[in-house]
Amino acid sequence: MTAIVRTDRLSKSFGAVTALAGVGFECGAGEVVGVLGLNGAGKSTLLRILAGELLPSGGSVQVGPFRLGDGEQGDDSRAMRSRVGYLPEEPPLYREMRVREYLGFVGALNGVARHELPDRIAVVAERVHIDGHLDRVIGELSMGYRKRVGIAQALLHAPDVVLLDEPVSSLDPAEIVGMRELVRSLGGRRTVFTSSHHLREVHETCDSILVLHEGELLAHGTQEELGVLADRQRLEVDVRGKAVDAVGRLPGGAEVVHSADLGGGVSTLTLELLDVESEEVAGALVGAGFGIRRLAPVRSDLERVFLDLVRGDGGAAQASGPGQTGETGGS
Amino acid sequence: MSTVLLIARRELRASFAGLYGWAILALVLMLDGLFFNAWTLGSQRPSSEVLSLFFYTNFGVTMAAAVFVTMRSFAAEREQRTLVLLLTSPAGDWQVVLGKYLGALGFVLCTVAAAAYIPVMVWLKGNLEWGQAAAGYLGIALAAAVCTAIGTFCSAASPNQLAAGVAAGFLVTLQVLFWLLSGISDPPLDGVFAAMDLYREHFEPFQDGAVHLKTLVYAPTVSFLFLLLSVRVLQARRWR
Repeated sequence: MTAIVRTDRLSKSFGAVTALAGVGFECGAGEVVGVLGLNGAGKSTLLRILAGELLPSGGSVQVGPFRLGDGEQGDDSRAMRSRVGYLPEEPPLYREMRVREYLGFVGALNGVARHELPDRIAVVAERVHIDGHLDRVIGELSMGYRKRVGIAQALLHAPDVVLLDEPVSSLDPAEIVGMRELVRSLGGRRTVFTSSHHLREVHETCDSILVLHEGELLAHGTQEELGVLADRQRLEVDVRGKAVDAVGRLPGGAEVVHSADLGGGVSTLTLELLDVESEEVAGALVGAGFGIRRLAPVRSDLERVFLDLVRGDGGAAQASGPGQTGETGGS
Repeated sequence: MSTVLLIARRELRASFAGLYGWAILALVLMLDGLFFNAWTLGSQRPSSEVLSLFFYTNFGVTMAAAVFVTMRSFAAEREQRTLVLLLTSPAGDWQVVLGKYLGALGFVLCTVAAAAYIPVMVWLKGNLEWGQAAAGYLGIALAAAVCTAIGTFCSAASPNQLAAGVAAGFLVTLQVLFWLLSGISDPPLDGVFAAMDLYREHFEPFQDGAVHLKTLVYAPTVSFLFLLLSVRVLQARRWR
């Protein structure tokens, strides 16, 4: 994989508040990357640094061949910005302008040649489905269409990297579905970062996930990779015999999450494996005379993976309050 | 340069796109007309004195217009969250500041041009001295450049439009009150304050038709200083 975006020990502080602390990751060309975290996790700060709006307090960020940070805050900042398209949570729209006029302005600002602008605007407008609204005043558009205009301005100069900060916030359900398809379709030719605290958005649109919590990167990988990390810790076993007897024969380090007698002399156990492997569990049960009917790792959803990761960080998820935790329960 | 002009053109169009810009224009015309009516119409003053009085009032009105126009410049974009569009574009901070400055200055000069019917009336009904008119308008343009730069800086540094307007109003007023400070100060400060006074030291000779070289240096220098400060403010915001 050729990395198009790379950060190394990236940090950002606002006075005494640390928004990002030592974040390091690499993302390849064409990936759709979900930036996941609770409110205040540092998602927007990360995207603002990648967009060039903010400069890092420490560490470095690299987009393509351009690098910022670690004493290299020079001319690369402008070159880097030319490779990035950015949609903040609130689309930066001049409401008095018509869509075509606005896109023309943004395109010219980003260095698109004047003679290329009409074609570029037409192509991008078709891509984000605003081609029938180009002559409307932006202030008269619905929030969904404003977001689409926002994405159009981010795509107009054909950037290598597109950053979308909470692209589905403030949208109604129909608009969310459309936006999800749009974000998904942007991948392949360009790298897309989309931040969200809605797990379903990330689950349905992203190839890989960055999990941020209180400014720190807790995990980075594909959904499968993150799932494997969690699944290794949870196991479902169906045994011949009583559940209460089987529980008594489990090796140390296997914690019972759930147990039940299924009838017909069969019972089921769901185990959390702390410092023991599934082979040891199977060996212990067989050695004690329990026939194993089924043994399978539990496939967890993204929500559990996320909560496991966040709770593993000192139980901070619980401390962040029920409203915020509830927001993550979309999966 | 094309990026600067692009931003300036959008800024200028935005001023005319809403009620705010037209309200400023109407206010400028009303004040210029009222003062002209009150001080000169019906009087037996010579044309040169009429023109001098017009430039005197137009100077004050233009300063106020510059404050009202520039208080929106950066502060409104920040409130409407559109400033990020400029800050994340490949445009440099100097290009952004210059573009917004030139756009605002362009609008202020439009308000000056709109009141040009008064010198035209003097020309039609009296004996207009073209040299005095040219010097007066040059002085107005230089004063507008200084006040717009001050306003641009205040708008870049302030959290909202109101704070930007108050700060710019204070600094612009200070520019014309330096002569008071010079009167109560001892040397060498009195000379420094006198040299910084925008009206008495720099503009007053222009309204009477005299072009002073020192003002041709003073106005661009002060304007540059405040634009440089505006750029530094933008850069500091990236680091904050």
